[in-house]
Amino acid sequence: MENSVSILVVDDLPENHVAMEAILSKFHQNIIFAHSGTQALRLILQHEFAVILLDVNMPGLNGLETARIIRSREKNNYTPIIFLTCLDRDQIDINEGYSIGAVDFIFKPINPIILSSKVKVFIDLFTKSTLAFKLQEELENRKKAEIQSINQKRQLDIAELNRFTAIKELTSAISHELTQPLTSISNYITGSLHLLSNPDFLKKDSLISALEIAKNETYRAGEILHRIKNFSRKKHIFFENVVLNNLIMNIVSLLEDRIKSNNININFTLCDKLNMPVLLDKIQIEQVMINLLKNSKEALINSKTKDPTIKIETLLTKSNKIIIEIKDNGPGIDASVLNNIFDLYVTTKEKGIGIGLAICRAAIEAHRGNIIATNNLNGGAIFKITLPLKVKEEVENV
Amino acid sequence: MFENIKKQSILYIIDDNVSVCKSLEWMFDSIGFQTKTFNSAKHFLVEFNPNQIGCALVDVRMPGMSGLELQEEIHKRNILLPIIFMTGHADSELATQCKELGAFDFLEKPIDSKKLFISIENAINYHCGLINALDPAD
Repeated sequence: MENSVSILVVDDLPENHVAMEAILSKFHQNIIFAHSGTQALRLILQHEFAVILLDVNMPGLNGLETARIIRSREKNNYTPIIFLTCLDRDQIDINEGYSIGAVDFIFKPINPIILSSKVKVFIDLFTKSTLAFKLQEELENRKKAEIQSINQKRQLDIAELNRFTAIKELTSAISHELTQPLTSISNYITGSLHLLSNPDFLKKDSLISALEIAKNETYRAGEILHRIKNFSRKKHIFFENVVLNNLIMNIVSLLEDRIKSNNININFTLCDKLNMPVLLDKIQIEQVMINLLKNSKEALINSKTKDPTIKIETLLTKSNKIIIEIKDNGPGIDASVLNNIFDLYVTTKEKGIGIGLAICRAAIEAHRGNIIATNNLNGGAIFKITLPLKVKEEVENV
Repeated sequence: MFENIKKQSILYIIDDNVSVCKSLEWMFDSIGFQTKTFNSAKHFLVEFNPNQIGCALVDVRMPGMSGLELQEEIHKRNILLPIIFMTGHADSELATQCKELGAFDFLEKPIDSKKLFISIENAINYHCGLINALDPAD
């Protein structure tokens, strides 16, 4: 009886239950009987009734008192209550009945036609209002679904926008990186053309060295593209034998011009044990060192630090971990970014793109190592790289 | 090229990128044009000679003092040296900003050498004119 409505009949006499059932059964609805006001009160908590037929004269809680309590429950404010009463015997005050909230009175002995026609009205009303309620609910659900789909679309739009921003920033990073070598190449070629267009051309050596540099710049541009491609593809790591201390010294001498020109001192404390070859991805570790040293250099220049110094330390721990530490005596890292400084697009530089340290972390993690950034208690930033020691494996296929 | 002006004038190249500096220096050397390169705006401010005719080719984006800040400083010091900006991140807003602040020209990297030479020639002629007008006896 899924779609049937419930009717509550409250009467202390079982024979009246039988009579009511006989009259109301033709509606094929769910008729529930209560023998007392108390039982009725329990039942209204469990069911929603289309109409309550309430005997006035009952022992214990009488009909009027029961009705008053039913009405006091907010959910039953409007549940139709029809009082069943013997007018002469009960001597009920009809006005009081209505003021409590009765919608009608039926007088005993009950006339089946009157009873069933009155009950029918409330069954219909309940059915219709339930239907209306369901429709409204469905409308609201639809509206909710619509809003949800709009929100989903908005989220997709945001994701799309994020992707677009990421692409834009990556493009900007690529163009910035590539502009430098391209500028050099174009300058060397322009100069070479000028030299060659001179009929008394003599500076052959100068031309050769210029073209040599231009050639190397094209390699550098290619390497930059390769690196960016690798970063976006998260390529596999390529291990080769590297003497870490030498790698660091080479990188420093590569950057020396720029560092020395700003009067920055570089101190080394390199571990002797790392003069032996270990397995590392040379290009990736070089890139990490370049990025970290450039960052330190920029921080030192921008902060106008007195006696600007970068300290590079390598160490091999007893548990076979390689430690590389780069410390500077600059302003240190702002606390607000210390926790996410390695995330993509996080930067402390005014015009930075925030890709350098993300590349560093990706490279170090590809080595199954880790990189952390902290601030020195005496000022300055510390970048600490930990790498597992890997040495050339025994000759395979023995 | 620049036959009539190159003997007495100088081009200052200010770019934090060493290889860009070196390549520009070499290119101008190949046409016999005197240059002086600086990897920072501060070095330039310390070392350049305000009485010599010339112009400055300046990278907009540099750590420490940026190209725009350098231009501001030059204005503050009442130096008439024309500045040609170069940048790898050209956008019209930045170009307008540079020109509003008194830049002589704004070029995008990699630099079109023809445009660069014309711009330098114009800048130096402009500087010549300015200096002569202010001090005709010189």
